[in-house]
Amino acid sequence: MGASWLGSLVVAEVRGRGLVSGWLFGVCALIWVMVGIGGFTRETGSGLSIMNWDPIVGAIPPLTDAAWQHLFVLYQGIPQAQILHPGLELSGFKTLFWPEYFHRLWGRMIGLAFFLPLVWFVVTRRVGVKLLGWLGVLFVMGALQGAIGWFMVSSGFFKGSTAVEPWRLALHFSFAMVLYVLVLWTALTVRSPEATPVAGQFRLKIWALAAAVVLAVAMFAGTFVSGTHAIDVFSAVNGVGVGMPPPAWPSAGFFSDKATVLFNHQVMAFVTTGVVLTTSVMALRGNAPKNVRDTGLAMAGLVLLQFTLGVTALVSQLLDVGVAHQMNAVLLLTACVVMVHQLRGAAR
Amino acid sequence: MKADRAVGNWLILLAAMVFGMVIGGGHARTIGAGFSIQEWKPITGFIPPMSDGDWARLYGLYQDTSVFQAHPISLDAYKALFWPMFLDRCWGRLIALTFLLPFAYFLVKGRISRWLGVWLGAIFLAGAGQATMGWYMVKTARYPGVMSPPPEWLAPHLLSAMLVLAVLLWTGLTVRRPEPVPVPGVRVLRHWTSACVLLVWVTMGYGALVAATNAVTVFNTFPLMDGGLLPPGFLSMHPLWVNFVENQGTVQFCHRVLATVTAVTLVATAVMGLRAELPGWLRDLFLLMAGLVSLQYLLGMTTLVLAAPELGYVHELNAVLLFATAVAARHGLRGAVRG
Repeated sequence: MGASWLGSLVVAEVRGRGLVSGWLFGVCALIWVMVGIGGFTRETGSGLSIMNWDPIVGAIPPLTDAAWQHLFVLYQGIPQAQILHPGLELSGFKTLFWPEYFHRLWGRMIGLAFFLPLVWFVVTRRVGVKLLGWLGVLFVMGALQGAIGWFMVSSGFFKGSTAVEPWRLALHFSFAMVLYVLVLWTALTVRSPEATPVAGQFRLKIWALAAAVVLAVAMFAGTFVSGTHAIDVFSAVNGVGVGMPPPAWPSAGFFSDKATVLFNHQVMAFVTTGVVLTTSVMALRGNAPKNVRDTGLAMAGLVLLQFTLGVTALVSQLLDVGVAHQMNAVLLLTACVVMVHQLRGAAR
Repeated sequence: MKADRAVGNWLILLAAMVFGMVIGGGHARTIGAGFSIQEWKPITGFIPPMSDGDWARLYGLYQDTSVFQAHPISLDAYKALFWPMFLDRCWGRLIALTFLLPFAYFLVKGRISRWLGVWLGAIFLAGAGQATMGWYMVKTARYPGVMSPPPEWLAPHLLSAMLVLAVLLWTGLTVRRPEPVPVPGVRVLRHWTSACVLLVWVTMGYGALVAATNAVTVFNTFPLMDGGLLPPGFLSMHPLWVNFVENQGTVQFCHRVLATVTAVTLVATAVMGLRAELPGWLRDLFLLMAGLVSLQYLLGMTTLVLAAPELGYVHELNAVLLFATAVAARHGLRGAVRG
């Protein structure tokens, strides 16, 4: 087996693969932290606290009382402020402001952490022109993700609205994951551009791919749980949210009815857990190479933790646990993608 | 010692029958039938009540219990409590027979060495002791205010049953393969696996206390208890040690902490086992251990949040399987040597 399109590019154009892949893995880590900050922003309901989008100048926080007053007055004009926080003081506004500000600032940082080393790599001829084209696509996607974020936030200012539209939140998160997987795949390919032939593991590759796909669907369903605050409806006593289809399923608002949204996510979580565990057991019991077996172990551990965190978030209603659940989902996705990458040379 | 598959399999069958005993005993406890037979005839007790007179006598004995005096039930309701308990006791007698008859046969055939014979005799006595202990536990029903088997009896009863099971399994596996398979480089793993066996056993003891104190009915939230790490009234009983046996919140807290420590230790051990170069059958035992402990933790959480004693029964049975798996894995590592 030779190298893929990206693999051949790397072989032809990258010098100092360890450095370049390390940089891209670092960008992945920054995106992962971004998911956590975004989840925290969502959890604290502070996503609507900044009413404008200045991609460059917005990095400067309010420095004077006047600047604070200006922002505060803007916020008091939106429906969320009038409905949820009628008597809000400036200090209360500040606690809403900082998470959203930090989320946006971190996004700018990722942009810089991508852009500046890239320029340096090109100048020092560590990265060639064609690969630069591909990395440029990733950079533009990152910028687009920022724009999608604003597109999402702006839906929260609609008349009578106290939160962003769930489908826009789903779009924002899903696009982040697409970008994350592309950067991760690129990093992995820069690190090992040749697809090593692995004998007798073709079925495992298909399973790992299936695991990544069902997990992606489960995560997509999870964004609607977050977007509609669906865990509110959980009640062990009334049997709501305990894993059984709600009476009106699926006709009652597939993406809007809370009990339905919760059930959809739970079904996908069960399917994902089953597929991931099957993949892990196959990797551990078959004669897979050592690195693939270790990835299988990581997948099993992360999926069990993920299931436990999900159940815990639901029954405890602790939103912090929900943020941990969201961050762990990205780690699990990482493990699935890594296994697919390790096995990409496995043929029938 | 010579390898003897038949003798080994017989002992492993007995271990499986002890698991059957937990199925019966756990069921009887879950439906509140533990006190239903207020007499013990070790040999002739296998004859069920046949006449109205027999039933009247048993029903009359039951009327002496505190639980009946607090909640009187009809004869028909009594019969529904009687049969599960009766079956569990018959199962115990069946275990004894399954022990004694092949034992005599193997002895006559000279397939059991002297020391193995003494050792097996000791196991039989332990089984008889277990039955006697069960009877004294059932007799506590006549004390005022004792509505169900008390924690200080129930937990030791389960723990000693687990010791009998472990010894039967260990001996059976050893008789099947007396010479340990040399496994290089996993000495540390062997220590970890020993710790696993011990931790599962201790956690099961606390599980029995949770069952006996009915602690599943309180603090049905996870991971916090009433919004805090420690339950309110954590050490409110006097003297202090009573809290760790009878205080529902404290007992549940201890079980939660032990369960978490146990789960983390078992998962870490399983990961080490799966990453080591082990023979396939031994690697599969660690895989099974990882699966069972994960299931066990989730079952425990679910039982608690739903306050469902029936799920607690499933949780109990899965614990026995987990314990047996840990014992078998530890046995497989007898031949662990420095790498």
